[in-house]
This record gives sequence, C-alpha cells and structure tokens, in this order.
Amino acid sequence: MSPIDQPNTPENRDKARSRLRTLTRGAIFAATGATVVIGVVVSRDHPGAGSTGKGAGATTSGSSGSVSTSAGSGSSSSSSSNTGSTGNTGNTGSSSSPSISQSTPTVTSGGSSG
Amino acid sequence: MTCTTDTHEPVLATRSFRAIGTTATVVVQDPAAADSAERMLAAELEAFDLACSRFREDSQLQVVHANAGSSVEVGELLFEALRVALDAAERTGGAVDPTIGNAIAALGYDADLGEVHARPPAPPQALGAVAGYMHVQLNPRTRTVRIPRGVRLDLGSTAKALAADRAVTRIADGIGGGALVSLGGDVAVAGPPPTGGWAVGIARESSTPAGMVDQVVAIMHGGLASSATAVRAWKVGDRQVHHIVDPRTGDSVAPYWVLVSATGTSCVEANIVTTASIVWGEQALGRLAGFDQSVRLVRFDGKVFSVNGWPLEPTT
Repeated sequence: MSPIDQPNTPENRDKARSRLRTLTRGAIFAATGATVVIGVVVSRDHPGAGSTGKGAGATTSGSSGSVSTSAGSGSSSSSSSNTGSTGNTGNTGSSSSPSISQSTPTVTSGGSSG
Repeated sequence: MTCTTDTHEPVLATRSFRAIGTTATVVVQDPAAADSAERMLAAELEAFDLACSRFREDSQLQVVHANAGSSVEVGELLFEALRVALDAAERTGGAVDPTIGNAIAALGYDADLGEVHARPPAPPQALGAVAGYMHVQLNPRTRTVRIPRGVRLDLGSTAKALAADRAVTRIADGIGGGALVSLGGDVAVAGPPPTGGWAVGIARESSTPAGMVDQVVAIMHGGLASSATAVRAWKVGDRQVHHIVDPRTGDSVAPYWVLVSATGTSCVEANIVTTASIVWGEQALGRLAGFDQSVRLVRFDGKVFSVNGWPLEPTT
C-alpha cells in the first residue's frame, strides 16, 4: 500500500495529527502500564467539595499515565480507570486496604489543628 | 469518657486528653481496662516528648542540636525515632526529611501551635533547601547520632506515628485485648479488633464530629494516617502557611492535595505515604505506585482519588 494515499489537504493533516496524538497517548500508557497494574487510580468528586468540584462536566485527570476519568456531576458520578475497573470495584487492593463501614466512627482521621 | 451504645455496635470505652501538642485518644473494648490504657498512653507520650520534642529545652533532641558536629549518645527511644525518620526520608526520596527543623522554625513554627497562633504574623524570612537527611549519621553500635553544625531536626511527621504504634502495642499487650490509639488523627490499632473492625471517620479535620465525616472506613490491623494542608496553619506576613515543608525549598508546600489518608501495616507506614504525597503534589499518583498501601487523596478542587484499593462510596 502506498504510504501516501490521501490528498494533502488541511483536513487530512488535522486527521493525521489527531491519529498521532492518539498513538502517543497509547505509547505513554504502554510505557507506564506497570504503574496502572500496581496502583489503580479512580476518582470522584468529594462530598464536601468546593464549587469547582460539583456539577462539573466530564473531567479527565491523571498523572504519569494513570489516567482516571470522572464523568457526570457531583457525588453521583461514576468513575473509571484506564484498566477498565469502575468505582470501588476491581481495584488492586493492598493487604491493608480498609473497607467501608456503616458503624459510628470511633475516632476521626484528618488534619490536626493542634 | 464515651461509650457507643448502638445495640448493633460493640461497646467501646474511650479516653482522650491533650499531649504532645495534639489530642491523644485511646479506645479499648473492655471498659474496665480504659483507665489503665490511658495511663499507659500518657506515659508513652511523656517519654516521647522528653526524647523528641524540639520545643522542650530539656529534650534529648536539644542535646543533639547543642552538640551538632559531634557524635552524641542518645536513648533508645530517640535513636529509634531517628532511625524511622531517616528510613522514611530514604524511602520517599527525601520528601519526608527530618532536617527541616530550621526551615519550619523560619516559617514561624518554633513553639506549640497555640503560641504561634497567639502571636502577630511574623515577617517572612529567607528560605532555602534543607541540609538533607543523608548528612545525619546514626551508629547503632554506639547508639550515637551526629548532625552537621547548624542543622536542626524536626521528627514530628514520623515520631507521632511511631508513638501511636508503640503505645497501642504496649496497651494491647498490657490489657490483653484490642486497642486503638489516635494522636491527632494518626491511628494505630493492635490486638483483636471489634466485630467489623475499628471504624475510623475520614475528614479534613480530626476534630470533625462523627456524624459529619466524609467517609467511615474500617481497619482490622496496622494503622491509618491523614495529612492535611488546611489545618495546623498560620500566617507569615500576609500569606498562610502550614506545617508540611518541602525540603527542596524550605517553604510550606503549595496545597495541591488538601487531605491525604492512607492505611499501612503500621501508623508509621501510613504516615510516610500521606506526608510524602502532600510534598509530591501532582506527582503523587505516579509515585504511590511504588508503595503497597491504600490511599485516598482529596485534590484542591474537591475531587477524590483512590489508589491501591481505598474504597470509594458506592455510586447512587
């Protein structure tokens, strides 16, 4: 097949650049795949979030290839990672992973103001 | 002091008091053991304060400062705290560095936080990179430490977590039952847990009432710690700073994460990750891949990130 089978128009140049960006993201993901396997990152808006956290549209965030996306708005948003796990399922848990509790907390862990 | 009375929950006995500049809490399953547990915790914290405080003139740490440049024999407790601090520094690539003593004092945190808050805002001082943990020399054979001249240490980050770990082990062994110790929200548990585990609330401030926390999680063993940038803060000139220092700049870390919580096989393990994550900022998600711990991070815009299996609330 000829390497050049499309006319050199501005539209086709844009399409080529788009494909290149996709391939580059794929290469970055492949290079950092170990990160994703070890530590799946999922995200969601904080229940007590500031104004920018609630009601936002689709948001993409990530670091070092562990990209996580959160679509929708507020606390009802669903979360997914680029490994296909969603929400709080399918994660690579550690031996000391906590679990959700319905009990009244005995103590609270947070910042200590003194 | 407080007993949980819900018939579906275990009855726990809680004792709280002020120590080492924070709120110390011990929780046990046997109410008859609560007084004994409180005494053991108080004794452990007094020993830590005498060994590690940078505010007490009579602490062993001040002897090390006064003899900077020379090897100083120290007690087992301070030596252990130093060893843990240097280990944390090495494992985090220097993000959690005990040689920030001068830097945090230059930011104005040179006394108990109550005193710092009571003073008018201090003028800003020149800041710079800290000396670095690699210049602290420990000799386990002689139990001596040598720091460079002019360097001061701050063991606050890891020493508090170590105190929680040591205290809860001592208490659980002493009373022959399960126990939880919280030092300003840095939590360690030991012994048999209650049914369903130890329930710990997660919130930006450890003083948040139980009914107002963001999330409640249960741990069965080890520890759970949180680090935050919105509390333990004060004014320098016209800007607000907080207690977590970036060793590369000597300045208070720009708050990319407002709250980071983590579990670990101990409170120290959890604390190392939470403090380092605050310092790493945006790079934390990638760096945490090297740690086998569950972490919950709340970004400045309120978005919550879960790493290594920290559970998010089910979506509705």
